[in-house]
Amino acid sequence: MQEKIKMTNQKHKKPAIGIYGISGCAGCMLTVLYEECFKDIAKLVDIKAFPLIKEDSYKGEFDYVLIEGTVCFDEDIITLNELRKRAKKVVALGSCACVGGVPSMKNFLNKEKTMRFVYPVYNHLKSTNPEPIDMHIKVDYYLPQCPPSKKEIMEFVKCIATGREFSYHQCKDPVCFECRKRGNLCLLNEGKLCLGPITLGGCEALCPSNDVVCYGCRGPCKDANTGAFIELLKEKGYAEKALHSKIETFAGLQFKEALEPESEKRKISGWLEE
Amino acid sequence: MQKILPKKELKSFIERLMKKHKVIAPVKESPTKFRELENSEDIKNLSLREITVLSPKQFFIPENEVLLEFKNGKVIDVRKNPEDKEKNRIIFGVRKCDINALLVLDKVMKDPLYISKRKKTIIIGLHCEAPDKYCFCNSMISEEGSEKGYDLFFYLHKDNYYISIGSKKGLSLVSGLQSVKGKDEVIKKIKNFRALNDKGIERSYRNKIWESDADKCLSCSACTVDCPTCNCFDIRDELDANLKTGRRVRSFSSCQLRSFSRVAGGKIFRESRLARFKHFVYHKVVYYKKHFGRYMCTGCGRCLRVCPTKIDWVNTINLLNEIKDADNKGRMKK
Ligand code: SF4
Ligand code: SF4
Ligand code: SF4
Repeated sequence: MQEKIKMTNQKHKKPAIGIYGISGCAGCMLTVLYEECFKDIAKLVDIKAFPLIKEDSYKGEFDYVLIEGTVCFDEDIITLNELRKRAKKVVALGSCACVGGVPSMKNFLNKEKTMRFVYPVYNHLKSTNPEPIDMHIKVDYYLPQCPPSKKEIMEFVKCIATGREFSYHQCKDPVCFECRKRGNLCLLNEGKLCLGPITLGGCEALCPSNDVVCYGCRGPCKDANTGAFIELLKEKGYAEKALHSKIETFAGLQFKEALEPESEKRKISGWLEE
Repeated sequence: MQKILPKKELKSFIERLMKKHKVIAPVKESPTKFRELENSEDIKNLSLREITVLSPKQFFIPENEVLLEFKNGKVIDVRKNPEDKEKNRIIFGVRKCDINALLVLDKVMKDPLYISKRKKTIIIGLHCEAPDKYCFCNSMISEEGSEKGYDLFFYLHKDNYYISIGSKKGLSLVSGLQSVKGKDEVIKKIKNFRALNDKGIERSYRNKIWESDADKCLSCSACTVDCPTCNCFDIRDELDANLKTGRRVRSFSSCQLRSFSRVAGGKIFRESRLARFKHFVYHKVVYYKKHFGRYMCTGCGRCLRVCPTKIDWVNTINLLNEIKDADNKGRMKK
């Protein structure tokens, strides 16, 4: 038997979006350009600005601005503030923008040494502490992962094109949930340091399904029992240093907040809120 | 009446089954899993001793099963005409705990998609030769005990498989084999290295002992996903990029996740880790039993085996009873 249903209102005006990057590798913006995404995105939304692929001459406002990258320089903060003013909603695109990503590792290292290691001459560089964008501006939506999941990007685009609330459709469970569903051998039980139990899922357990431990690139899961997890790893005999360097690979700042919620002077907005 | 099959003829027996049926069996891979046998190479790689990470549950409640499809303003209810993909399907090598798990699921999974898959699938059981330190199936044997749950059941004894017959369908698969003569039937009991003593456990719900388990719990959901009797699910609507077609799918969920008890408006009514953890244990040994007269848990040990922090709720329950016994003795002395 077939029943009639009312379809989503398709007269809904196409949302105006901009896709920008601050300090980053452009990998997240490139993900948007993949065939699986871009041909549909171009139909569902109105891309007003995308400096990676076309000259940026648009001066108007956006419904949504997707921003890639970590705040590493003062110029980044200026860009962020300017984009925030022009956008109704800001979307953090990728691990760097959402949780700090690989550059945020510098927060846990000796700054001088790190600079010297990377650049032979660095005196002219005015770099700040690498931070996720929500430490500077309000972020409305997060599309984490390094690089972000194409499926999740498409879910976001379909939601804004039909006026559905995206955060409702986003995964809130740990990586282990998807990993177990795929029937993998648990790497943690095999003696490897997998961050799956404390990391936000939604990646379909991409790494553990390919025999690589989870490095926590999607940031902490709100429900993570991080304290018990650290205890477990210590019991298993992992050195504190090994543990820290793993946790600090992508989302050290976020995990620090999850680990010591009191000690963080500056509350990171959004991420762990609901 | 049992039938008899020489051990070395198992391969040719399965090959014969494969001619007319889709045969699913545990194959040695990383990790060992139930999957469809494709060629004789797969038969060589059968893994009949080791317990599989996932039970055959996935063949009856598959992840992302489509319930409805919508196309150009019309809804097609897939449940009304379940597909015939599972026709002539045999699952071979199912151990006792996993057969019991299907009987447990039968009582709650009342939707046509599940029922049609159950009806069309032939279950060939296999006696478990290598239970490990986590198994406690003998403590969880159904009190009803009448339902067999299998079409055929294999016991390996010396150089032969002794085959018990559970249904007409099963019999037709072995009608060519020799029958066991006289009283020489082989029925074996499974060895267990642990037992569950859950006497009076209902009254210990508020015992502090549960807190030390829940404090260690990572709410990773591994226990429930790997459990052959957990059947909680979530239903989502997927919309295609054309915004015209899509489908309603059922995917697995877990009571250990915060998201599981989230309702409209954002309220989460089983928020605490402790309440979530205890719900799992009590559902398995208490709540289900109240409704259906048998344990939900079948003692396969998967939840204990997979738990990354090695939380052992079976041990916790036993401990509770030991404490109670010691207390009683103490009181009697006074
Ligand atoms: S491999 Fe990692 S993500 Fe998968 S279940 Fe084990 S700890 Fe979780
Ligand atoms: S609760 Fe544990 S032992 Fe019982 S059936 Fe489920 S996985 Fe097996
Ligand atoms: S497997 Fe262990 S840690 Fe994970 S949810 Fe279950 S009891 Fe908790």
